[in-house]
Amino acid sequence: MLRTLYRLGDEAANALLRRWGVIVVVAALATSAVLLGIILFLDRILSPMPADAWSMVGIMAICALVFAILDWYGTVLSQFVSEKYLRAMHRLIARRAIELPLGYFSVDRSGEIAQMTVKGVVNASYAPGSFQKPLVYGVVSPMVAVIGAMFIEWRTALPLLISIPILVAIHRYSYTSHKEIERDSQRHQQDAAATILEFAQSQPIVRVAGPHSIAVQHVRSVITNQLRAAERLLLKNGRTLSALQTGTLLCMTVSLIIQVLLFANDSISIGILAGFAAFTFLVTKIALQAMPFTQGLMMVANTLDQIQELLDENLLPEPDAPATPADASIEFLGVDFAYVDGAPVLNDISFRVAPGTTTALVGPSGSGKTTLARLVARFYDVTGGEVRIGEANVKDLGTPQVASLVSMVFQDVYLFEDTLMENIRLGRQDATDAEVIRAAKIAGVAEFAERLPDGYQTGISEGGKNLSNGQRQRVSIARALLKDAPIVLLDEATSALDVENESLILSGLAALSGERTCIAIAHRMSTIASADQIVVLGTDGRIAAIGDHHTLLRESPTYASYWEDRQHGAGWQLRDSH
Amino acid sequence: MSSLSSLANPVQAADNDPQVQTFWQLASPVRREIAVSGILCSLGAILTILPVWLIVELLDRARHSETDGFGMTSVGWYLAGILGSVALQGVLMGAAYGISHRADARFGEHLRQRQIDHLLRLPLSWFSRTASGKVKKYVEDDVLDIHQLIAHVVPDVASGVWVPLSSLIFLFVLDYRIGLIALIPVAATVLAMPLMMRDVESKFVEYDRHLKSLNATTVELIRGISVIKMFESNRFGFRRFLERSDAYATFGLEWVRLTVHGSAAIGVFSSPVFAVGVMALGGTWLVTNHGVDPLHLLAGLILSVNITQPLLMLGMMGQFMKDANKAAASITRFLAEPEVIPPTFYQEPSDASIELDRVEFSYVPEVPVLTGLTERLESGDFIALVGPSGAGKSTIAMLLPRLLDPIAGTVRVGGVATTDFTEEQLYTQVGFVFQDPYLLDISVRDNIALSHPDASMIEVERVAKAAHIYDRIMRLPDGFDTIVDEGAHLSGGEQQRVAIARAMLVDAPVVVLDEATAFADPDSETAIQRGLSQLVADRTVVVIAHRLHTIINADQILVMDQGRVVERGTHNQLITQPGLYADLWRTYQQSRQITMKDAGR
Repeated sequence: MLRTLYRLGDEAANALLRRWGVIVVVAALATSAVLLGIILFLDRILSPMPADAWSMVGIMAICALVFAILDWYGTVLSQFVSEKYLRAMHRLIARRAIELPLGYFSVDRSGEIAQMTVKGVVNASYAPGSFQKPLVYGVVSPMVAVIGAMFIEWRTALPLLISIPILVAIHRYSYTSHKEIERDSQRHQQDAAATILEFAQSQPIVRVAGPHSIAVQHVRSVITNQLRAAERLLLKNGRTLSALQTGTLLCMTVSLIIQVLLFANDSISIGILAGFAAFTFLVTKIALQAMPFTQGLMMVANTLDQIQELLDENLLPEPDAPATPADASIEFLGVDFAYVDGAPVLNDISFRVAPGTTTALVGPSGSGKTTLARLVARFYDVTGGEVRIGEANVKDLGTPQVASLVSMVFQDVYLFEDTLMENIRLGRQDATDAEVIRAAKIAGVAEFAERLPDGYQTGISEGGKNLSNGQRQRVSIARALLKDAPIVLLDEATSALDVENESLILSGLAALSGERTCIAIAHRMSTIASADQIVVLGTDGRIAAIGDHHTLLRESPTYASYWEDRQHGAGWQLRDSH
Repeated sequence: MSSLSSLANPVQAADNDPQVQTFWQLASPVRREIAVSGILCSLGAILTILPVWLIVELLDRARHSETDGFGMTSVGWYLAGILGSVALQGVLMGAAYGISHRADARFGEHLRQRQIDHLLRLPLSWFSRTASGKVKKYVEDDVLDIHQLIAHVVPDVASGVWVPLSSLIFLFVLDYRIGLIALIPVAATVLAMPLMMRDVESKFVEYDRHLKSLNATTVELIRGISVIKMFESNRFGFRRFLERSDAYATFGLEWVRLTVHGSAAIGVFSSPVFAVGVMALGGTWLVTNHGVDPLHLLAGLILSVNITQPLLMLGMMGQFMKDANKAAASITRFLAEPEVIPPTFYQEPSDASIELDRVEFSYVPEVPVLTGLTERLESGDFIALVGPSGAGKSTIAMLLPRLLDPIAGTVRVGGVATTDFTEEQLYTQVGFVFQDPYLLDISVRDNIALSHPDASMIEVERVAKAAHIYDRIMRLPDGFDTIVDEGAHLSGGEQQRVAIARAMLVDAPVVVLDEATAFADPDSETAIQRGLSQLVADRTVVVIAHRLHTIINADQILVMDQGRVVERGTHNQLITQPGLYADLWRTYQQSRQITMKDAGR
């Protein structure tokens, strides 16, 4: 555990941890000395001259004092160790989150990472003081004391010495499958949490589906399974602990029996027997008290493994000297892409978007339109071929530069817990209030901002939940306008909006795409028809047809039938009247 | 009938006075097991004294062996006694933990299923008031807090009390002076306690606040990561996260400064080294100056380590207990939320007509959404609700399957008030396709058969075909067995078609479509439309639509504004008269003409 922690810490934290480690080990050795002192002390106090014991008491008192001072200092130091590691781990996680390709986050990992970052890191940072120290005391002190006791009377110490490898073996064996059981329980717990969240969020359909629906059965069974897994872990912990405790107590009893038999054989004096009996009870007790801390340490080790896994995730390679784009054109050159090996999403995609023109992407759902747009923004790197911006490969431009060249207006708009003003200013951090408000006007934000209690200074709740879908989309358009990047990627999913929202958003989008190079996942017939170029994607992830609206209508039967469908759809009515 | 009264006085769960229960009260179903486990553990704890006593006795006999003659037989008896007591202790402890674990499992299961029952009977408005994270906290976190308590804390507390207590009693019986010395470390620890506990209550509150804010900012960092990266805005997320992390660490240090010497002192005073050291010093003085038996000192040395640390652990258990009581209070408050229980008396609806009789509704008191609405919708009609957002269209839709209940007035389907429908009737009378398709992370088959777990595969395939989603499902990795979201990334339109298939399987005489084509992508739209046309044939259909062209054939269009029906008629009647519908229609027509590039110029 400490080794992993050490790997995650910075130099200052590690230096402190080393110092702390030395102190704890020396304090443990002082404990061993006190324990050994007990044997000699009892031997003397049971002799005809009990006053001889005072010198031994003096030595023990000095060792105890050394222990007290070191332990005190160690406790203080461990708090600073914790604080240093907490900061170091948080920095690592945050930096890694920024560095990871956006593709890593296309599934929502916020719950998992928050759990690891908050509870996990806090526990891990306190681990040296709260778990490691008791374990060092409970394992090192008795072991060293037993080895030392060999020098006092090896025959009585020998059964204790033999107990050590036996107990280590029991320990190893008991914890073999512990990690898997703990992870399994953790998985079930995450699963149950997700299912309950879903259950709460899907209440309308749960109610409409009636009292015996699969939704209800599902949530009940997931909860039951989670409970079973938690029970398995509790039981495993309980069994492991009782196996260790029983083993330790048996070793103690056997050692005591052998010691008594040695005495009955007249091999050792009554003083040595008394000393060793007390010694045996005490080392056993000290070892027993430390045992529950192993489980805390195991839990922390699991968290540290998770952090390590996050750090081991692959990053996209970044160029040492980023290339400079020649213009705002976009080009796909024989691009292949697959999220998972063997399941290609895009196959041999080649087309060019001239600077300042609009290309509409159309195609059935699942044909890879969103993936294609994301490749321009370098959410992922292509499996084969090249994506180019301004004649330069996006890999040579580097992710930060690609980000600065591209604006994205997608459906999932995230707003931060800050004022509306700051949420828009996010588009360009040095924008003045006047510039923000100008962008807000064009994007149709002004229309609702003025009705908010504090106007642009109104606080937005986490994720932007106090705004409607349409309002959030308008904020994202304002951001993009402010950013003023030469390339715009947009997902034109406006169909969920009411008429007012839709027309505001459309005019915002129109202003945004203006003279910029634009790739639109097009949903509206008018957008498609007026695009400079239309790329029709097929279900196989290949380009089925490419050209402008009129050419495609003439030359591509796929497009023609698609268009006819859409036209039919536009005139569609839910039901003929009676 | 009793529709009004059942709403005005929703049935109170458990207590009429939502008094919070403690952990102990909540755990009443397993109290007997807890008690048995506690008793067994206590017995085991008391047994820890026996080997020490036997050793002291044995040494005492051995001391006088020269005079009495100390034979191997009596040695054997002592050794058998030690071995036996250790073994018995193991058996007792094992049994205690076994019983408490089984009790714990039973209790956890019982409590959770009770919570799910309760969730299903809470009014939907409770869910809109309550964040889903809160629901998760009740069912997950709170139960876990209580749950480990039964399995572990009960036996632990029992041994935590009896190990020190029996050790002390034994020492006092041997020699009260040895007993007094054994109390010194306890006294020192107790004296240092206030140092460690300085401001503990207020600091814990602050600590909790810091943790929560750290959690929120982590979620923000991860959820907003694409925004942060695309706008290179480290001000949000990254820096904010580090600021909060820093605030937490700084707070931790402040707290530590205040209490660290207290906890360090307690660490030292409760250590075995301190206990043994004090006993050796004091004991030697007693032996040399007051003639105390050195064997009693030996017992004192061994048992001195049995006292402070278990008591300290007991103190920590107090914190667990506090958490558990907090969780228990939170759970009982949750279980005390008033339930809505549908009647069990069955009334047959006469047809599929809908009546709204002086219906009033509001989400927030004094902000009425519907004000005395009275309308009749004929059986088998195609009815459209249109109007600006906030007009109350969705509210009406939600009243029909009793997702909401009116504050006053009655909603009737086929002449029966919806509040008089049995649980069974509610979902068989009114089908609903929401704007959000609500696909759950279960198999596609289960999603379609949601309300009919026993539906045959033939039926499921039939409705999938009718909803024009069958071919797409067959292309999924495991067909109908594909788990949604894991193996199946269905587009919005595809999800919508699954939702339509689901509604077809229910086959209810009344169907409500709330913006059901909203998330259609161009490819899906045509298919969704075909699916919908299948669904709505021969039923009473209530449609909420923004895309007005889809409803121009409606038998009746109800134009709503500010909770009232302001116009009613067919499309042709409505567009020929000046009014809200004519205005809406005009704007809609215009917006369909705009092209993206045009709008900017």
